[in-house]
Amino acid sequence: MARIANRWMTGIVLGVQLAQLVLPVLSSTAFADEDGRPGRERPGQGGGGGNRPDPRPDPRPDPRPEPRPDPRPSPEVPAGPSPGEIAAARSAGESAGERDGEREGRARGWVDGVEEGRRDGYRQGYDYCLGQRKRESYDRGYGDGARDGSRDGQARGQIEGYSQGQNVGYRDGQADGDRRAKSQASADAEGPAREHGRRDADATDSYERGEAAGAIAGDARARQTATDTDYPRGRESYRTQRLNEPVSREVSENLSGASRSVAPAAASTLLDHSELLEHRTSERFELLGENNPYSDPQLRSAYSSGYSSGYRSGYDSAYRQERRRGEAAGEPEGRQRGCRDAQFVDVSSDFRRGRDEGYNRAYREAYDNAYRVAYDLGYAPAFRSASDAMYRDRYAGYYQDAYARFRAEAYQARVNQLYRAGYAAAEKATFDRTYPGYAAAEFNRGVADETAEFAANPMRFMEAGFREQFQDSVIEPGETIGFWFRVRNFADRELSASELRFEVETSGKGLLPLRQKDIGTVGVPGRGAILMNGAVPVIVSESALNQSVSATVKVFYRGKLLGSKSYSFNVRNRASVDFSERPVIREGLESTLKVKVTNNSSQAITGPVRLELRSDSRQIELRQASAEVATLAPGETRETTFRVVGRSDQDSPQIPLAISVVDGARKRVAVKDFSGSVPVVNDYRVRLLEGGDSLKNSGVTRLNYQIRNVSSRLVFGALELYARVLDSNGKVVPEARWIGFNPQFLLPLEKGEQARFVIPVVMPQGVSAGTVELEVRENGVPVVIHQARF
Amino acid sequence: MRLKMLKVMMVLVLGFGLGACGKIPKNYRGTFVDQSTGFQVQLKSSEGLWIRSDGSQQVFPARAAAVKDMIQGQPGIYLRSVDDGQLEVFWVRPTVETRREEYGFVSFEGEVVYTRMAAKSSGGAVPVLLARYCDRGQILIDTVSQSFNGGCPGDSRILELVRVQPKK
Repeated sequence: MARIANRWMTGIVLGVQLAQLVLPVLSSTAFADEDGRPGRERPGQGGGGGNRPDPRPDPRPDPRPEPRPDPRPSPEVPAGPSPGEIAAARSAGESAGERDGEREGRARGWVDGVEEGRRDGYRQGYDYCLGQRKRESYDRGYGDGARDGSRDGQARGQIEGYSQGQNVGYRDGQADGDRRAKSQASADAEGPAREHGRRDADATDSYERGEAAGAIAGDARARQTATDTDYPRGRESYRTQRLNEPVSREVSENLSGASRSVAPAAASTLLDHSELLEHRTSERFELLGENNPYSDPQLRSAYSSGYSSGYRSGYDSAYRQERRRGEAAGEPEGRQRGCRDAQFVDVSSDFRRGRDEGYNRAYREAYDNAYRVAYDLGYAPAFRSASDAMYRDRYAGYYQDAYARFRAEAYQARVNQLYRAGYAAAEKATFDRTYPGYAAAEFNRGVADETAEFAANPMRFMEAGFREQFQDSVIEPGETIGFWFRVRNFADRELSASELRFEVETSGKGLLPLRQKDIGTVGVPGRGAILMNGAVPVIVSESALNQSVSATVKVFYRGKLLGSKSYSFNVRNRASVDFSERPVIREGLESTLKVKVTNNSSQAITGPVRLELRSDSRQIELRQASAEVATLAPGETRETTFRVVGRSDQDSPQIPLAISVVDGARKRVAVKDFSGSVPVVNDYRVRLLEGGDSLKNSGVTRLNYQIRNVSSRLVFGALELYARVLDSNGKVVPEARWIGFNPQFLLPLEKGEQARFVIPVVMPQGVSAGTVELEVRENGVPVVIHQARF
Repeated sequence: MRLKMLKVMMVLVLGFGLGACGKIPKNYRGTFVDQSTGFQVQLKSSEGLWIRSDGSQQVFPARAAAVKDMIQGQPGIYLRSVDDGQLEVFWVRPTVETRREEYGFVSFEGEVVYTRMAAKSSGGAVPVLLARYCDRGQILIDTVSQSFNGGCPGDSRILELVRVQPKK
């Protein structure tokens, strides 16, 4: 501390000595020339400097200070200037700089200010005076225009309004008169005209003409009725008679023979000033290199630094002040000049613009007002006179037209009335008189034609049907349907069955005909019948399952169609099988899939009914792939289960599953294809992040796992991790050694939380493939067993 | 230059962060007792005290997940940040004779108390602290990745540590 205080004291003493040495020098040499002449004038103090700044102010202290011999002994001379000397040099520099800056700032500020003030004032004065002149010119023009417009508008409005009123009134009046004449004439003419028309009609022979036409029509209706009803009745009568004849003998033929197999943006004065200042100050500092009174480098530097700072300060302050004054002084003059110049601007266009606008506005207003009044004055009288004239002119013509029209209408109506009366009476009377004869004749013709038909075509299609392969009321894939027909022979002699042909037409590929057609072989006895079984059988394909398919069977005799019949079948399995509840699995843990099978047929499905679960997915392991239930009665449902183990670490993988059901005779009776997502419902999800492949090599492997709690429970237990390495045969590799602990403990994970952990293992040689299995137990209970192959 | 400043800032942030991790959060400090076992813990900013039902006591320093201390089998309260602004607190008293080291892994058994705390103090003093306790817990340290894991067996005990109000 004493050492630091000693240094401070030494500094203070040296500073005082320097001040004693420098200050007198500075105070006596400011603004003095080398030869002792008085200092230079400051700008603005006269002397011809005017308001132009001295471009090269000389900050040198003049005359140069001469070193005075120090009367005091100085036994300890420091190697460089002391802090006090440096401060004094800087202070001297600041004072000199401030003076120079102030002088130049004042000069430049005044000049710039006056110039700026004049410029601003000119702009303001010019704008103000010019605006005033323009407004006055416009106003004068507007007044002149308004006067003229009002006059012209009124005159033209009166003329045009009155004229238009007259025209429109005339036109409207004519229309009114015409309308009144037409209406009144019609009303006046109707009564007499209609009476006239009716009298004319009564004098005609309308009734008699009706009678004649009615008689013709009645006769035609009788004949047609007999043809439409009695002819078919005659045929039907005969047909019934024949069909009711006893069948002398019925034979049958089973056609189910050999079957085919079928396969499926200006500048600112201040900104310019700042840049200028930077440039000039730099320039000045260069000059200071030879005006600096100090020879010691440090003192020269301090002086220069102080000069720079003082110059800036003095210049800025003086410049702003003088600039403001200059602006205030220059502005009035500028304003006067601006206003004067504005007096010489041509403002005639504003006069014209005002005149046009005033004219148009006044014209429009005056015109509209005058037009309306004049229009009304012209309209009313024109309307009245035109209407009356038109009425008088048109009435008579309209009366004649209406009279003729009403007379014709009444005449026509009466004629029609008379005609219809005569027609109806004659038509009925004629029908009643002639129909019985026509009826008898047509009936007899029908009988005769049907008799001839039976003689020509004695073979008749009577009925058809089908027979299921399995008589259980369920048409199922793989089942064969056989059709049968019954045909009668109405001839007295036996006919050859070889001319009887049976065909089947099927839609789509749901029904596959085992034979396209059949031809009988057995003769049909005279007045006998034949029943043909097993004709054109079809087999229901697998693609038809749960669809509707159709077939039409036709019977021909000697190439002529005797009859046909269509059938539609809903194809389904005898039984249906589905999951009783949505299938879910647990990774590494056994789950149960519940399945129910229902007998949809009317026959029992003989047991043992075997259900088989299949999947080619590696995400599920079937621990139990088949199950059996006893015989299923018609409509009965039974449930069974399959045990599976999930092998997926995803939330809901897509796993294809198929269930088939076969009856005791190993015939498939139901099938279920499932390809939906299967939720994995473990409480924890485990993934092996890395390290699995290294298990193929011997040595230490770090198995990095991630475990996540995905459960919805709120209470969780401590976790224990059991790791195992299995060879390709699923056997535990006992040489695999676990580092640390096995089981390894893991602290509880909260819902939604996850953690990573490492399970280190030392692998033996020779295990090139296998599975690493990690079993996680919560409070001792297995919750997930994750497998990863390597 | 900017990169250099960024590095300096990261170092400062990490330094402060680690320093903060080694402290017991303010609203967890105090004395807590599990009524069923008489197990008592006293938590201060940088240490904790166990007082078992038999009267035995032990002081543990709080450590900012200093795995190197754990590797040496040093007892302590190891704090580790986890997601969602929480601290995992492993209060470990290793059983020295169970310590094993092989293939870059160090394992040992010992008494373990595990609990969680909010890393930033918010609200008033925490009234109850749930912790899992076991006398045969496990710690497995991977000296390569400087990470560790530990736990208790399924039959471990859950302590319901209720704050003891200071006498007025």
